[in-house]
Amino acid sequence: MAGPDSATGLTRRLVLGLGLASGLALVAVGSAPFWLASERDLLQAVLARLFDPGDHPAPTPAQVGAADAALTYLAQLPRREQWLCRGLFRSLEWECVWTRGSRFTRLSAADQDAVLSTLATSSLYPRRLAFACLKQIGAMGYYQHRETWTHLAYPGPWVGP
Amino acid sequence: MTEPGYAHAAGPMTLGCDVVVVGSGAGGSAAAKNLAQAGHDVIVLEMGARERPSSFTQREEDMLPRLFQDAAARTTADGAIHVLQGKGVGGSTLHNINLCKRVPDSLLDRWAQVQGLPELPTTLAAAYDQVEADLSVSQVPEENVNRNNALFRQGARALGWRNGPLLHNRVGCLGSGFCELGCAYDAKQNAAKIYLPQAVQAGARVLSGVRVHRITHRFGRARGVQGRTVGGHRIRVHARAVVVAASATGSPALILASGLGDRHHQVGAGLHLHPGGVVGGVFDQPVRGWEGIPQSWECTEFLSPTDPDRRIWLVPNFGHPVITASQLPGFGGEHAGWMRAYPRMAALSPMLHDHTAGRVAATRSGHPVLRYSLDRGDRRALAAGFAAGARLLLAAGALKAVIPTARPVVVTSLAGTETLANELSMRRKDPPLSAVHPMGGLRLGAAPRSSAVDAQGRLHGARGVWVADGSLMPSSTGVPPQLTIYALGLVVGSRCAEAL
Repeated sequence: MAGPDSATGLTRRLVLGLGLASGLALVAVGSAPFWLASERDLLQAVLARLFDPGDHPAPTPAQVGAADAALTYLAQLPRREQWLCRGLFRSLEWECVWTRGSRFTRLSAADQDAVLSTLATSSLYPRRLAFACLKQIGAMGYYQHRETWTHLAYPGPWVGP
Repeated sequence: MTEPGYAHAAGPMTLGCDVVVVGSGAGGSAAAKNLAQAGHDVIVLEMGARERPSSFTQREEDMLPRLFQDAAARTTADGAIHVLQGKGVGGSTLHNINLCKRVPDSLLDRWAQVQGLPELPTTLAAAYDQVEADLSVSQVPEENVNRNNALFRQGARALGWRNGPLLHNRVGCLGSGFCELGCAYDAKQNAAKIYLPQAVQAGARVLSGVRVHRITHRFGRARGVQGRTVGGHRIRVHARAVVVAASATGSPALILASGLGDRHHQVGAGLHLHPGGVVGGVFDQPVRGWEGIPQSWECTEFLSPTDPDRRIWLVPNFGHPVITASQLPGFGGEHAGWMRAYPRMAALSPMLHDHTAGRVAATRSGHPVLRYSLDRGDRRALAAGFAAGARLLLAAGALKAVIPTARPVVVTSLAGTETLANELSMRRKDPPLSAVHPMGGLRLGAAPRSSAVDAQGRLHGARGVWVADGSLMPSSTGVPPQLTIYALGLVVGSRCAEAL
């Protein structure tokens, strides 16, 4: 028969178990990469439009791995700035559901261009700022590669490989 | 391999010394040198690492996070101005372009008069002489004036605008053009190369990888500092005096976070940034602006230290691909078109001798928050600067000049620049601006009601706290501040040494 002691023991076990589980979860979250696959997909979609070489022979952002390179840079920002970027990515992705009926990553290239153009030329400063952030992050991911420099006649560093 | 006198903090530590210097840039290194040479036991703390020039890779994605605070992503609180500040042993002198210019006498006289600092002009003049000798300051030889700067000079001369060469602290420059990513050839005569070794030779210890969070104090007197390593280990340094030299943003934020006395709310007040932007000009011939010394010439036609109607400094400017791509307008095909013109592009910056006085605040952890929003007069002055920049490039022979506003402004003739200033001054927070000369925030002055630091460099609100960096400037300087920061560092170091 379960007396008060065993009831207390059960509660203690439960509390201890929950505490342990929470601790393990925190460790897991703490050691997991900050950036999610969905955020990488969004960034890749944005970069594909921002640095679309069109008819010119320059490589595409996907060909040089620009999204991964940009995320490597973002990972070096203070955590507060990383959260701001995360907010920016999510608002861009989901705002399009309201304005265009689909997430940014699922829009056609023309529609994605229209979204970015609206941001870039908006009369609202925060939206222009959002575009500027995306472009800075993207430029860091795309123009750090030698393959993109050859099309600019830029010889690159004097030192290193 | 660790060099004697230098160490990187990797674990918890408690240290003691006479003076702890927070920050190892121009001001901190100069102060540490004078303090150590006066016989005091000095510890210099630096948040960044000790970077060897031979490890500089000349790659933006690598060097920007290594040499700049917040991985070069710091902005004003509203995001409108990108604020670039250095870190690493040597501070911003690792990445700056080595421009050396004294604050003009007329402005020093004004500081002396308004702030009650009658000895400042004379004191600084002697310190300037010493810094210029120590740092081998000289004019860039004609053969090292690159094409971007030569075109700039050509445009200024064609318009009859006042222009001239700039002085630099570099010796043995190879002209690689990667100055802002750190000099891999150690040609910069900077804090890491000149003053810190002298401090170490005199017995100072330099500890890198420590972010100082707090000045410890008791009964209004500083007792030392507390901080943490990159790995989170606690660092304590007990000292008789603290010299704060953590930059015009970091120093006020540290003092605010430490809760030191500030009855008149002067800590953090009077922040100036010298905000500026970029004007590009596309030529029909190669410019290859990335080659050679980025800035060797200036135009001061619209700059006077004390005339409120002349507050624009024009100076050549050029970026490597990442920075350039961030600043050129548009995206997709439009942006690619501008980037294809990169080898034929010249660029310059109109930089504002700003009247706007912002304020540095601090988060609980002591991280600076920069509240700064250009007033109408400054917006108008900067707009005129953009127009003047476009005019100069067109006069130099550019086919077109571009100002990277949200809807880019492209002008192809001098006549097209006439209404440009009015048009641009109507826009708020457009085009994007950047700032590399933060100053003020702990202004020098005799009166605690209008300054945070006294004429000796001591914080008004506490005993044992000295300030030795760009935060001491009572107003915008209108010239690059590094020479003045070095000079103030020497002066404050000497005064602190005498007082101990």
